[in-house]
Amino acid sequence: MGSGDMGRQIGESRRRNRVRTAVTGAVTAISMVLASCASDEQGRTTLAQSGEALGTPAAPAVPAFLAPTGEGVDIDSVAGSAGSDALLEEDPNDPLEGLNRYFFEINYALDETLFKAVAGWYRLALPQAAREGIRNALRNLRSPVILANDLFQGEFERAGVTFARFVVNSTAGLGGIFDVAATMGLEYHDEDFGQTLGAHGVDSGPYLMLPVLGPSNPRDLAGRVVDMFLDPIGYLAPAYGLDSLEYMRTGLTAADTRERNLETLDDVRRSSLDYYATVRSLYTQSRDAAIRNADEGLDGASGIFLDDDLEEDDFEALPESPMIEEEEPAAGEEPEPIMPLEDSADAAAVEIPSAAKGAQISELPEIY
Amino acid sequence: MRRRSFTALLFGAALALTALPWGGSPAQAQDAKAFVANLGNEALRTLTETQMKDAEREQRFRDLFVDYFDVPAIGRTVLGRYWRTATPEEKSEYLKLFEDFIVKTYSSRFKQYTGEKFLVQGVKEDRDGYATVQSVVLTPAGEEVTVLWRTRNKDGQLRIVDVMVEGVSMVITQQRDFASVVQRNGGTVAGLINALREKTAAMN
Repeated sequence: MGSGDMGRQIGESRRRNRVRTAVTGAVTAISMVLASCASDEQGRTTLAQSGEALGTPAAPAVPAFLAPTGEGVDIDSVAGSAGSDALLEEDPNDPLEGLNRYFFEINYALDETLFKAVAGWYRLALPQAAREGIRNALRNLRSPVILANDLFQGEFERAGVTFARFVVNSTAGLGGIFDVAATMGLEYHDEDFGQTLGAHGVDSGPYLMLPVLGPSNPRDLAGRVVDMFLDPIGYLAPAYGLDSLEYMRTGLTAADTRERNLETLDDVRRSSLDYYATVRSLYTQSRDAAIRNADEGLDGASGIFLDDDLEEDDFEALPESPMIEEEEPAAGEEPEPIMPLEDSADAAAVEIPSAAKGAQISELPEIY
Repeated sequence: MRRRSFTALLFGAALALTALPWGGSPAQAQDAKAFVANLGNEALRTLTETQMKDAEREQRFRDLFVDYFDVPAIGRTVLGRYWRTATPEEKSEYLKLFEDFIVKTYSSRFKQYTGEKFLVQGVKEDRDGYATVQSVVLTPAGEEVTVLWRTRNKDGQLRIVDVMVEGVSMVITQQRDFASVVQRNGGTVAGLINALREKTAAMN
């Protein structure tokens, strides 16, 4: 099955790769910015709702402790584009597209009216060097969570780097403001529990556009919740009556992330016909790359193939290498690496050969 | 200090300053590396003048794009399964609009050139004439963006078929965008063609 294959690929590529920040700009921007405003309760509520909507046995992405109960959501009534057309079964795993698009619009309006402006002020108010210091400090504060996830993924070398960075930057780097460790060759990388789950073969589940929180899926959302519990600062700050510092940290993280992506997001919006679909693809691809630690450098990189010979729309003709057609596209061709076909609402009716499922997943992760 | 910025990527494309030697790789891989480095040099030379008229920049970008990228193959791939359902007229109109769309979208980004540097770092050969070239874009603020260029040697002709920014494939992203538009227009390529026509017209 795809997830198993992917798990093995992940294991291989992970060893050879450096990790970096989890999510590509556009997407992080939305989700991080918006994360600042979301309470834990909101997150849980949304997750529960999405879990209900899942409602299928093929949803291992939702851990038992988050398993859905209660009233369900009719997938078909929500997913605007779900239909019987044979061409649509290969859609991204987005059974809640109608609802997701609704929240996407709301998030976009919020961003346009509020977050974008705040990020603009942040840029105007502080010089580049100050913003960099803040970013360094924020990353330093995140070290315990990164360290834990390095360890959960069996990445002991990386864990060592994270630990050494924390020690060096907290002291010589004056509380993390200066990234002294990077100049010593100890470069920053990010990890989160969503990536840890993915690295262990957990499927993402359906795409979710969370109100305020931004793009996600059950796996990554569960990861966020776990990361919150993993973060010692989350316990320490309230215990010492420093809640306000924790709020400030969250707000700064949001401002920093959005500020860095002011131009990028505008570019993405300007250059896409369907902004929602583009962001969905960016999120899916970048999370997949982050899980494989393949988002930087050649080692774990994947690449598409154009196939001149592929004339038929027969997925079985694709033993392992997912070809992107050049002359006559295959009906099954639709690379979206994280999208687990099995989870799709329509997948069962389509009878896609299991080889195709593997191909579906390894479309992007064509590991060298 | 990594900033995932498409803007930086595109500046990067303009700025291949160095092609560091990378010993031991087969000749074909070296070709791919030199090819990408050449593209960067050409882009730097021709696209970054600040006084240039938009139309002139667009034309120069188009020349480079057509020379260095397998545009029809990319266009077909981006349309994906819907290529099959399009009429011959739709296919040719789509390919023309696709080229216009990319040219208009990306050429304008070279207007804001602020001294980014583009370094070709290495190459990895893949099967079937494919190779992936690694480059990095360095922004003046010290940020780095990793950009991979997927090249294909087909019948002795080397062309770029995809660009990947920090793990995100531009071809796949574009394909998703277009597929969604097709689906939301009743599964017809005609709907996409209309949307593309409006979009490119609006960018004029």
